[in-house]
Amino acid sequence: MSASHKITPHRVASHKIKAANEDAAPVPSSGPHTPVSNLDLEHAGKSVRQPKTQAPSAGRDAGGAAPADGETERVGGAAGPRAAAEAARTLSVPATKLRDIGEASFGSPPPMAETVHGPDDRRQITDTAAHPWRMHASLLIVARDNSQWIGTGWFIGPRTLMTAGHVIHIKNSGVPGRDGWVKSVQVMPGRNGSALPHGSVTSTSFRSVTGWTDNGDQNFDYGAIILPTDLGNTTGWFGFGAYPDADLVASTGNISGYPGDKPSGTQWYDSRKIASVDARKVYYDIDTAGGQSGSAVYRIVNGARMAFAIHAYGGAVTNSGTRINSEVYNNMVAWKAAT
Amino acid sequence: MSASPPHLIEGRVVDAAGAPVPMASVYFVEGPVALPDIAALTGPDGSFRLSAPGAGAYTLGVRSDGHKPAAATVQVGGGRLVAVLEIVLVPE
Repeated sequence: MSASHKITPHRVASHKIKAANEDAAPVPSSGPHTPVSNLDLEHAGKSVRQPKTQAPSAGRDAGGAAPADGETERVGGAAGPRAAAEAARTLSVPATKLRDIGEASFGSPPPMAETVHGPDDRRQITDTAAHPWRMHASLLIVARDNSQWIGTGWFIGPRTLMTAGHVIHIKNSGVPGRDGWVKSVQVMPGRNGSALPHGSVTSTSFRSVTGWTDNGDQNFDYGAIILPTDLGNTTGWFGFGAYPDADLVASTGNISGYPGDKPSGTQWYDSRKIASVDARKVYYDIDTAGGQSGSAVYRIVNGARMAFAIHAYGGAVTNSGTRINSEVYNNMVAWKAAT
Repeated sequence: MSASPPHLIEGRVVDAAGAPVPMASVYFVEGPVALPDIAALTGPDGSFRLSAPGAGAYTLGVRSDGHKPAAATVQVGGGRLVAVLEIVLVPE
């Protein structure tokens, strides 16, 4: 590995973002959901007043878009071994919340964590150039110490992708020179191995919140990547919403992303019922692997793909993501308007 | 968050001849706590460094195109801040 590049101060520091005008959504100016960026910005752009949902877009030339099949995607090939027994299975809901990383440093360890629970039910997506799969992007991340990582992001607007906070801002790594905003993220929508059907764009503009960047709290592990182009107008983007508990626990969650345990740059999909929720997290048994951090956790509502969480962790009993609650939603609305 | 530094898992991925395998993905498969679902890519010398947030046994998965997937388990803690391992990949 080459030596660490010198980072100019304005890219190392986190800058709090002020609302653009009086009509801005109620983006907090203090507390753990306070939005921050690696860039020194005057404002984060326009936003709307207290919306509940944001609509998706299919992008350009989506006439051949793959239809959804009820609550899940219609994917070619046989269902995985676990899907066949899905209807008869009773979900195991954790009796207690999963422990976060910081808590775990103090106490006795809980049961072993894993991200694929039982038989691996993921199926490979091969028509990744088409909607909806092209809304998911393979990410190649270069950290401050020049170490490289893979993750997943998803479009919420022409220039904005959501991902996990730890994908764009590394916290508490223990490795000298690694922590902080990453240097760059190469975004490859609809990647399929070495094929990049929609090209790639490299971003150096990121957003997150102080709950993650200052405190490293996994309850606030979310962020955004701002592109220098409007590639999202081609790929389309997810809708998203802040939903009541009852809606979420009755939903089937869908995740597609770019795991590191499969051939390089291939996209894999799985779906399952949501296991449980709390105010800031959603828990599920949808199979994932390292590299799928940042994936959309979404439901299909009348054919519309609506994200409700950002996948982030493999857990002891279930996997989990950061819930799009009202504060996360408001930040996403502001970030979606970024230019 | 804990004020104590995390443990580190350092290692190298090599092929059967001992040559470094760059750009292999290295990720957590199992661990004592919930873990970020991200994957590291090995450097030109096949090296990687992952943060282990607490003491316990961690299983890492490794994948590189053209090689069979591999896994290795390492025990973290016991007074050591850094655990070191070497993972050998064999051709598919």
